[in-house]
Amino acid sequence: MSLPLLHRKPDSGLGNIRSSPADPTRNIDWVLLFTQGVLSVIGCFVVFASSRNRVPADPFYYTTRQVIFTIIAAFVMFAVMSIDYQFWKERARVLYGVTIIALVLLKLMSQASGRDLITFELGPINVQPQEFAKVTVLIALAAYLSQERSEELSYPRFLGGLMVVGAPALLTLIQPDMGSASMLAVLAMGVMLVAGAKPKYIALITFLSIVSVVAAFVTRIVNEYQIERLRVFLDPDTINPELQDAAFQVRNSIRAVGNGGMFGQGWLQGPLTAEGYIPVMWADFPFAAVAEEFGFVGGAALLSLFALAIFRIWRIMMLSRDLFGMYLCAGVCSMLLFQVFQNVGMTVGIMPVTGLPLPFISYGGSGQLTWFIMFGLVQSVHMRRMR
Amino acid sequence: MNVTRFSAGSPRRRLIVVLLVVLAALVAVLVRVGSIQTTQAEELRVEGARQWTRTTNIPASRGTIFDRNGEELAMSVPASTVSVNPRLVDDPHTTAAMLQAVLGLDQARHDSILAELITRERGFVYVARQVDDALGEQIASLRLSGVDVVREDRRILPGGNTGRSVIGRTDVDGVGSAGIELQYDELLTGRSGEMTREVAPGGRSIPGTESVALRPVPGDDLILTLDRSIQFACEEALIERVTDIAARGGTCIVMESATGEVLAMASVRRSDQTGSVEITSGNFAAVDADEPGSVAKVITIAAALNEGVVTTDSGFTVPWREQYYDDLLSDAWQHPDEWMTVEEIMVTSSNIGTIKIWERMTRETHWNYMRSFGLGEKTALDFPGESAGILKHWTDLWGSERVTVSYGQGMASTSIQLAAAVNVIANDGIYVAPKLVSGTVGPTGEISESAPSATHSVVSPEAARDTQRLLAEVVCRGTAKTAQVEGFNVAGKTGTGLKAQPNGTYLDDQGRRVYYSSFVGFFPAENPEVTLLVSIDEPPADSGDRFGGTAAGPVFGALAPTIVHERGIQPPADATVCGAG
Repeated sequence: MSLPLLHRKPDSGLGNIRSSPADPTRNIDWVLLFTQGVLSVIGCFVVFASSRNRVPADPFYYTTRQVIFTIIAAFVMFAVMSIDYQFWKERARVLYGVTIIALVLLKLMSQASGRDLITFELGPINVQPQEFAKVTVLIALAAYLSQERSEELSYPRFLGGLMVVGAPALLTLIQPDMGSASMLAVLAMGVMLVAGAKPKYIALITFLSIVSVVAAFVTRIVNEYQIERLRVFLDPDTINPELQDAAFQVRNSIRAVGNGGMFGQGWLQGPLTAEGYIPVMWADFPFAAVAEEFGFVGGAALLSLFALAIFRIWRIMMLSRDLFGMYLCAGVCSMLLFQVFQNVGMTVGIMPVTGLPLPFISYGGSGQLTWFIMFGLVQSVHMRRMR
Repeated sequence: MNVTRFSAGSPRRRLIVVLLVVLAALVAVLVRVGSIQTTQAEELRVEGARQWTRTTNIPASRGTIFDRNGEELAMSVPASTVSVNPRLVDDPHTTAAMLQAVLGLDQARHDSILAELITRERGFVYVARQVDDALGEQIASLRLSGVDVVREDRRILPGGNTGRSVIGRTDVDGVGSAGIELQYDELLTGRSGEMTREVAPGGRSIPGTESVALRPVPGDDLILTLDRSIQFACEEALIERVTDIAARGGTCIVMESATGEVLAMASVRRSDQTGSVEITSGNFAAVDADEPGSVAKVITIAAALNEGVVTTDSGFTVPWREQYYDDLLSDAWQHPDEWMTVEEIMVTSSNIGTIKIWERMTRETHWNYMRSFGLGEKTALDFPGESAGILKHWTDLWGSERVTVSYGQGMASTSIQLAAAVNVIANDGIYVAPKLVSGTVGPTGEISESAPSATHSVVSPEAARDTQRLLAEVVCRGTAKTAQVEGFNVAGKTGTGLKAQPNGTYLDDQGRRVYYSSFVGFFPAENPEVTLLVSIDEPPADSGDRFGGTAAGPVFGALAPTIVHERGIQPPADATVCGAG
C-alpha cells in the first residue's frame, strides 16, 4: 500500500500535549467528520432546491425540517461518539430483541389497519424501525461474530450470523420494504467477508437474498408499485399505460441528469428539479437535482465526497483494535457503498427504483439519524483504537 | 497456501478486494452519469424541455378578398371554437347541459358529447366550431373545467354566392381548398405566430410564463379585377336564361378589352340534386374545355386578312356542301353554289366559305395563328385546375379534322381562352393575357399592384379593324342579331359547337346531338371597351334555342345595360347603329 493517507500516523503532532495521545477526544477522524458535515449541508441545499415549489405556503417546509433533523442527529451522533463502542456490544441482545419486537409490531399493526405500514406514526414524527434496525442488527452481528477469534469464519458461526441477520431481514422484506431488507443482506455480506467467510458463504447469502426477493415477487408480498418499478427497469421505454407513472419518474430523472450537462444549469435553474417532474425528488432522487443544477462536475464532486467517506471508514476498519470495531466499520462501509450505488444507480437508470435514500443528502429524519449514529459508531472505533 | 486462491485466511488481501469493489462500483456510476450528461445530454434536454413548455398557435387572420371597387367578396370574421377535454371535466352531465343550453346544440349532439365526457377516452373533442364570438365569451365566462374556447375565424362571402366560382372556398380549418382561395392560399394565410408557456405536471399553466415567441403576420388582402355588380348581373342573367330554355349550364366572362382584366367570370349549372340552376363552386369558365365552333372563324378570317391572302371583299364560289377527305362537310343551311365575299361568309357563318378562305393559307400558318390567339395553352390566370384546351399540332390532325379546325371543330377551348382570343380583335390585334388579381394589400395597408398583363401582337391593327367591322355586321344582320344593344354597335360572333360524347361520337345515347352554344363579342364596335363571352352548355337539341345566336345572344343583350352603367360606357358621338342612322 503506497497511499500515504492510509499510513498517516494518528494525531500527527497537534493538540493538547498534556493529554495522552490515546485520549479519545484527540483521535476524532476530522476528515471523515468534515466530509460528513459537508454532505449534510449539501443535503439541506438539495432538499431546498427540489422541494421549494412543492408547498406553496412555505418553500422552506422540507428544508427546515431537514435542518432540524440534522441538528438532532448531530447531537445524537456526538453522544454515540462519546460512548465507548464496547458499551453496545454488551447490550447487543437487548437492542436486537427490541428491534425484532418493533418489526413484528409494525407488521401486526399494518395487518390490523389493512395497509402497508413502514412507519410508526408517533404524533408529528414518523419512526421507521427498519432504519434503526440497520444499526442494531449491525451491532448484534458484529458482537456475535467477534466472539470467535479466528482467521476464518467457522460454519456454525456463519449460520448463526445468518440467522441473526435473516430474521429481521425477512421481517423487513414482508413489511414490505425491499430496500431496507437488501441493506441488511449487504450488511451481512460485508461483515462476513471481513470476518473471513469463505466465498461460498458469500455466494450463499447472495443466493438466499435473490431467492427471498424472487419469492417476495412471486407471492405478491411486494406492492404493486414495486412490481411496476421492476418492469420499468427491465423495459424503460415501455408504452404500457399502467407503467407510465413509474416510468415517468425514472425517465425524468435521467432527463434531469442529462439536462445538467458538464457544468449544470446553475443553482435553482433546473426546470425539472424546480417543477416537480420527479415525484418526491427530495427524498428519492436528490442526485438528479445535483446533476441537473451542477452537472457532471457537481455529480462527480458529490460522489468523490462519498468515496472519501468510504475510504476513511475503510481505513478505520484497518486501524480498529478489535474485531467488533472492525466488523462495525465493515458493515457501515458496505452499507454506505451499497446505498450510494443503489440510489445514484436508480437515478441514472442502471438500478431498479427502490426507496433507498441517498445518505446525508435525501430528506428524511430516520435515515439521517441512522447514518449519523452509524458514523458516530465508526468515529467511536477510531477514537478508541489506541486503548 | 495457494496465493492465487481467494483465501479466507488473509484479511488484508480480502480488504483490498473490498476496496477494489468499492472503486469499481463508484467508477461505474460515474461513467454512467458522465455518459448521460455528455453524449445523451442534448437528446435528454430536448425531451425534458418538451415536458415543461407548451407551444400554442396564434392563428394569423386570413386576408380579405376584395373586388375592384373595394367591395368584400370573401372575408374572415372573428368567431369562437369551443372544445372540451373530457378528462378534465368534473361533472359531465352539468357540463353537457350547459354547453347545450348556451350553444343551442340539438339533442343528438348533446348526447354524443355527453358520451365522450363520460367515457373520457379522448383528450380533445370539438363541441362547436366557429360560433359567434358572443357565444364563445358566454361559454368562457362559465369557467367550466375542461372546456376551452379559442378564436377561430369564420370565412364568409358577404355577397352571398356572388363570385363563388372564382373565389372558391376554404375548408373548415380555414385553408383554401378551391379557386382563388386555394391559388393564393399562402398569401392570404399569412404566418401564424407561436406562444410558449411553461406547464407544471398535469398540464396546469404556470402564470406569467406565457410569451409570444413569434408574432403572427396577418395574411395579405387580395384585390380582384372582378366587379361585383357585373359578376352578379352575369350570374343572374345566366341562371335566368339557362332556366328558361332548360339547358344544362352556362358560363359568362366580361373582360376589359385593353387590359385583359376580368370583370366577371361566372359559371352556373343545373344541380343534379335539386334540379335548379345554381352558381357552381367550380370555375367551369376556366376548367372546362369545349368545341368553340364558329367563333373560331374569327381567328381564321382575321389570320387570312392579316396574311393578306384575302380582303374583306375577296369573293369565293361557295357550294352548300363539299367532300373533304372522308367527310361531306356542309353549311348549316342549304343554298345553291353562291358567290360570297369574306364579309358574307362571316355574316352568314358559312363553313364551306371559311374553308375556302383557310385554303389560301398553309395549315402551319393557321395553326401558328391559333397558338398566337392563345388557344392550346393555359392562360396567365393559372387558375387551379385550369384546362389548356385541346389543340393538336397541325401535323397530328387526320382526316377532315385538318379542315374543320378552320371553323372550330376538332379542337376545344375554355371560355377564358376564347374570350381572350376574340379580345385580340377588340384590342386592335394585340393579345392581352387575362388577369384576375389586380393587387395585394400588405399588413401595413400598402398596396402592391400586380404587373400589367403580358401582351403580344397577333394581327395588324388594320386586319383587326377589318375584322371588327365584319363582326359588327354579324350582329347587325347576321347570326347574332339577338345580341344587339340599344344605342350601341356591338361586334361579335356566334358559335354552335358539338360536344363530343363519352361514346366517341357527336351523338348522345339517344342519337341526339349535344350542343355547346356561345356568343363572343365586344362593344362599342367602333372603340371596343369590353369583351364579353356567353356560353350555354347543352341547350335543348330539338329547339330553336340551340344555336349560339339564339341561346347565348340574348344573355349578352340582357347584360349590356348593367355593363354600360357600371363602366360608364358612352357610345361614340358619330355612331350610327347598324347603318340605321
